[in-house]
Amino acid sequence: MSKIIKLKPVFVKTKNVRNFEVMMDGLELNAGEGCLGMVFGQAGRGKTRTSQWYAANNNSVYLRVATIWRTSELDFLKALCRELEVLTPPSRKGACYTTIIDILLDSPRPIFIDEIEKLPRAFLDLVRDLSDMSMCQFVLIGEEELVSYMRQNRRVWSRTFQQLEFKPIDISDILVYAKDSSGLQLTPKVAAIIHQASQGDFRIVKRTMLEIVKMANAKQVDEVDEKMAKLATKAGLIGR
Amino acid sequence: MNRIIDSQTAVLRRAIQELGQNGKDVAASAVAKKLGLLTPAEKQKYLYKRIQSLTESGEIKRVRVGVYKYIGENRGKRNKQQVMWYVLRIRKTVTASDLVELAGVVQKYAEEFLYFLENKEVVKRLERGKFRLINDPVIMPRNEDKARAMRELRKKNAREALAKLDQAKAAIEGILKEDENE
Repeated sequence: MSKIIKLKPVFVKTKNVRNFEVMMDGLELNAGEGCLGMVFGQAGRGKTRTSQWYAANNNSVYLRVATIWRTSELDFLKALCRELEVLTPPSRKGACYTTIIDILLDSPRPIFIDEIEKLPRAFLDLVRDLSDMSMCQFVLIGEEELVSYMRQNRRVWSRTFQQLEFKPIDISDILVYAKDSSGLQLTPKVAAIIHQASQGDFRIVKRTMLEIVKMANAKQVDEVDEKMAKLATKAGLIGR
Repeated sequence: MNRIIDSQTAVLRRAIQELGQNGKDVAASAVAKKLGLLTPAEKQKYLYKRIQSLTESGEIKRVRVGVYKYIGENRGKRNKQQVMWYVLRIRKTVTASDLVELAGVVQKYAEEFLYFLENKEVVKRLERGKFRLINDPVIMPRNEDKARAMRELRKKNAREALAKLDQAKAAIEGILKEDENE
């Protein structure tokens, strides 16, 4: 092996990402009606990164909820106004609400709201109203508790047309990631070792791949054996 | 009020954005007043033509005669720079690698973009290649210096090309004169 192997930053379309795109296509079919989508799953499965990637590359809006907004619908609405490029959001709730609706009616696009379960359930009614009045898709993203959080609001739940659970990444995702990011062709056994140690957590997979690349460069090889994989997974987990 | 003589499209865009905050309608007359354009000739030259091109590109929308609304640049799709800007705004702290991954750009372009924003004091450099958004103007700052440099370069290239053409013309005329004398 003559070349140094590098781990390139690549956005890999895992199964979760492909399902996410299918979900967005499904919501798009309801274009012109307000409807809600829901993406949930354990931490580390790529929900936030995927929604940020999608929002940035598809002219959508992404808003991460801050806990401090718990007691202020106005702060939530102002933050959403700023994401819609309103330089000076109005200082009253009603005006903010109207501004958001006007902008979205004029220029419809999906809105992603991350970690809404931090806020009291009454905020769901606000999101429902925004979606109904603007006729835009609002996609709520959160961990497992998001499901019960939304289910308890019957009107919101009935408008949730698409739901997607982000599952742990699987061995095929790891094989694709390794190939796309470093050019290394892992064997299924090596990928299985990484998969077992990471328990499907993509962050751990990335750290492990970094260790594998370091080892491969140190040994000047471009094939990864099971011994290297086991050592790399130990180092990758220690980074936790 | 500053009288704008060199009203580039960027200046016009900023004026319309400021006047049209919160989705307000913007009268062309208000824009002219803001830019200090007084005579019909100045308005024709610096305002109406540029308004027409912004309308054609979809960045502004004509509400009725003489009244417009700011929609946004490339509302249909963000270009790569806008994607990087958006990633930075939603993540607040990024590395160049984050931009490469999420915006699909090359490393050098991502780094150049972050250095530009650092010079504008929009981001602050942290440890381990991270940059933090410290001053969010919402609308992406434009690299006017680079645009100006490119315009100067194009003018310089055009002047050099014309000079070469003049030289060639003189040489040809010289040859023709020699032929006549023979």
